[in-house]
Amino acid sequence: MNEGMEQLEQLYRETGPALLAFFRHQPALAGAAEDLLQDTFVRALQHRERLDGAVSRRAYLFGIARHVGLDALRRRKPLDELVEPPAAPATREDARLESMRAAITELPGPQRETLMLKLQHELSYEEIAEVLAIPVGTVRSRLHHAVLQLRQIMTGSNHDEN
Amino acid sequence: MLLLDQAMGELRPEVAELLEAHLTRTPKAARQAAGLAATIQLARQATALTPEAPRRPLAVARLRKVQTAMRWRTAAWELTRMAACAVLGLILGWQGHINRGRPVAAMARPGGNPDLPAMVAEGEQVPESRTDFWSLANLGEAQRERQSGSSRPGSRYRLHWDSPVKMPQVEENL
Repeated sequence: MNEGMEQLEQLYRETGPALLAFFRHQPALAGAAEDLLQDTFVRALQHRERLDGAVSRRAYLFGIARHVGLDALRRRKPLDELVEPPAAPATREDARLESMRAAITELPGPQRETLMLKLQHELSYEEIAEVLAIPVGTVRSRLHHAVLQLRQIMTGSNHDEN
Repeated sequence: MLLLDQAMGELRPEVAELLEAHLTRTPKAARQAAGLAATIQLARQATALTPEAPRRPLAVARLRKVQTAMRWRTAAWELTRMAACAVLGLILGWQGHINRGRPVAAMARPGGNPDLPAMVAEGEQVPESRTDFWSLANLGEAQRERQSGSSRPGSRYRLHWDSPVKMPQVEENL
């Protein structure tokens, strides 16, 4: 029992920061990020055998975190919307980064989610497929369309990447 | 797609090498690859996170509580299943006990269709069937025959059955 807890604590130390960032990046969940992180590990414990058998524990935890986040959004009371989004980085950034952020928010939800998992959390295609419970081909296709759309917005032209 | 995979760092080394070789020969494709890489790089910068460690440690006490609750739930579930099996066995055994030796017509009447004609006359005792395949009488006789190496007198065929997962073979008595 103690060994199991130690393993979970080790996982918490390793993946906690990334999972916390995952929650904090979503404005609606940012305020409760720490609680949601704990909920993620409680749920992981409830399905311990799946966690132990997962090809990538990190991807499995991201998958749980995603579901915990979705459940929290479903239960969310109207007042919770007043929670402040994460503070913008203090450094002054150039306009291109701002444009890119705006372009990313314009992406369809599934594409944006896939792109974030790849770029922010450095998950592999297979790990993203596990997190989102979709085929690897769909991950590639979503990323392809997302990047094409971003490039189109940023350059203002229509490039054919094929 | 390959260009995207390359920019995302998802290509196997040998494929990446081949693609590099191709890009050196085709400037247009190389420009496209560079454009994609630049877009991805910019997106990476724009979405860069500064991961910070959680302020609270893992709530081990809460996890232990959950673990204990799960163990109790599992134990309760196992007990419930065993109790259900025991009750079912008792009910079936009791039913068998009270129906033993009862006239068939009397058994059929209460729940059965009263319009159907009774196959056995009211009050008639039905002997244990010897014709049922699984009847104890038949099984006992088969066992005796197997031990004695003989078969029922007068019967021309005998059943040869080695395993319950194989089809029984009918053999002629020589």
